[in-house]
Amino acid sequence: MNSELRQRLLGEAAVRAAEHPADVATAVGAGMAKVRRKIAWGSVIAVAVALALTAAFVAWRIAVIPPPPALESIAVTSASQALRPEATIALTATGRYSDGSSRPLGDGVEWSSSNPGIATVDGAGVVTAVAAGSAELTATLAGVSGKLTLAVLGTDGAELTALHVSPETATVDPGGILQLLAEGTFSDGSRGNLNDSALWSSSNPAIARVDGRGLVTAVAPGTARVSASQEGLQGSSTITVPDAPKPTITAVSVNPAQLTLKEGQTAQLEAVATYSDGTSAAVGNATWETSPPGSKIADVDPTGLVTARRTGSLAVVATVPGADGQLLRGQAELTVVPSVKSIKVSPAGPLQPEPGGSVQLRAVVLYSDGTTGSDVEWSSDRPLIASVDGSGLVTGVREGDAEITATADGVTGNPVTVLVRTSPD
Amino acid sequence: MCELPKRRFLPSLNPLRLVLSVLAAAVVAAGWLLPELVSAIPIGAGLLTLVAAVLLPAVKEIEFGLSPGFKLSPALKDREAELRSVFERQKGDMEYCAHLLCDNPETARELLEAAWSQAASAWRGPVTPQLRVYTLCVLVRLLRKHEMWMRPSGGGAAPPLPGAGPLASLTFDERIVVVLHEFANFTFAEIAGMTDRTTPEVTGAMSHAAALTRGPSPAESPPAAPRQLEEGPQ
Repeated sequence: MNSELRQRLLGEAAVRAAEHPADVATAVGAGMAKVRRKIAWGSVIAVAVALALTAAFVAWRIAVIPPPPALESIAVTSASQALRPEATIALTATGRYSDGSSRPLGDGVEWSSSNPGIATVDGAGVVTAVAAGSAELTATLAGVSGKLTLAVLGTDGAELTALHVSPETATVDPGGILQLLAEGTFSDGSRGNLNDSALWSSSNPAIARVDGRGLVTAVAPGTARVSASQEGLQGSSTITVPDAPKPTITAVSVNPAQLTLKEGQTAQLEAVATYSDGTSAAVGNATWETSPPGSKIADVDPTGLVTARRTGSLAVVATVPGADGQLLRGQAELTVVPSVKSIKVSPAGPLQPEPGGSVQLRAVVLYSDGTTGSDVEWSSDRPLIASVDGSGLVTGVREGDAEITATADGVTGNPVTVLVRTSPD
Repeated sequence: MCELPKRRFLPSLNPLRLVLSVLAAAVVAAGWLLPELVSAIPIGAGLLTLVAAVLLPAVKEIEFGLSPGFKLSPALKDREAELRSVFERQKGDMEYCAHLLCDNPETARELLEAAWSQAASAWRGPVTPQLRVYTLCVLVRLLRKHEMWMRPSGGGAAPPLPGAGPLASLTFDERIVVVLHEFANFTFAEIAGMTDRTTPEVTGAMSHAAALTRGPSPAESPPAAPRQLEEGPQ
């Protein structure tokens, strides 16, 4: 296309465009309105789909996993519906469910009595007859209740037809006790507690003895039969008393638990075991070691003999095998202090006090770690000639010769000769 | 055929959306463990979170090119302003093409506005130079439909308007080729793609049109002639 034609066409187009200008804003606005509608509809559809999916999921779940069967009714039963005062009996609550099944109810069942003056019931459903009359016993679970009417009969009239002791067998550790229950069944169908009225006896009181209310005490290992008798009827329970369990070591300690030794001194430690029966005794199979191991402060030999080597502190640990291979440990805290190396007494003497006169002596104690002190015990070999008090003050008593010494930790200092003389004046 | 940009999913997978997806899935899974109707609460909450916080924002970003974020209205306003700005810069170019392609100025204006409207609602993702091609393609498609409706029932082209220029003597397909090639500087391959024709058909149409407009043959046509109708800077 030649440029002349091109320019002419462009010119004509420019004129038409100027006469009929297009509106971009309106056009874009219309386009964006369509976008808004798309987004709005898309959002609505997406949310609807999400909600529909949720509903579908839940519906599917409910369809796939059926809900647990609902408890429809509770049946309360007992071995007897007639009791005599003081008799106890356990009630049983059995739930019947919407799927036709039934099973015994345990936890969560609430028990109540319509008349606690006639019969009481505890949380486990055990009824105790109190006085003659009638009471309604109710078991409630999840809003569903079941009832049993219990009659408590008077104590006279009916004849005892059976006697039963429970538990029929029991194991009681030596020293332990067990309350037996003697229950009687009467001719009117009622049950009664015969613990007080029955005659109790043990086939071997050296193994298990029983008191007049059926309380059994285990005495020694073995088996005994404990019987209750009344009106010619008898019930019994077999009581087994096992051997006392062998005590096991539960803890170990070291005796003494704390000690202080001077350098070079020794001390014997012992490991003491505490047993499961509460007793304790020294044990010889302990393994001894210092903590930290290999300490130069002290040594301990396999028998627990500790030798102090240098000043410081450490622990001496005893290890004893316990039950199930468990290692039990006990320890003593040991402190090693310096020992007396030498004592120097001054003045060195000889001293010549008059009778009644006195002279002050001083002692300097040199310890193994180089420190010094003055803690000594003073003594005179002839106190009737010259006496010395705890501070080293020597007093002449009468004429004669005596020797004063200072001692600390078995070390004696240089002796000082005291010549008590009367002055010629 | 007017091509839209391909959907780009990866840029929309940001860490926040991934975390929210995992959390929502965990809530749905937790709901699965609850009994009966109670399970509807976490399952519904999880699915709604997935839809509202992950799915819809991602769709808005991928499909409509809206800026990321939960607020819709500002994002739409930003998008509208961006498109309007781009179309304003391209307005002169587009108007020339519309009036060169259509002899009726009122129809040219209406169809150009319709093309902008369609492009604004259909354009996917960020605004790129390809938007001009797409808008022109939509304009050509609309013109072609209009031309078909205006064609006389007996067949043949509509009679040229009084005072119409030399382009009115061309067939509509030839006119499209001439305008897009000579004034919008599209290659014959691009024109073939936009008009659903083959390149030989386009070059044939151009040769025929060139004889009528005394222009150069396709072989002589400069491949990179300076654009007289170039859009403004984007």
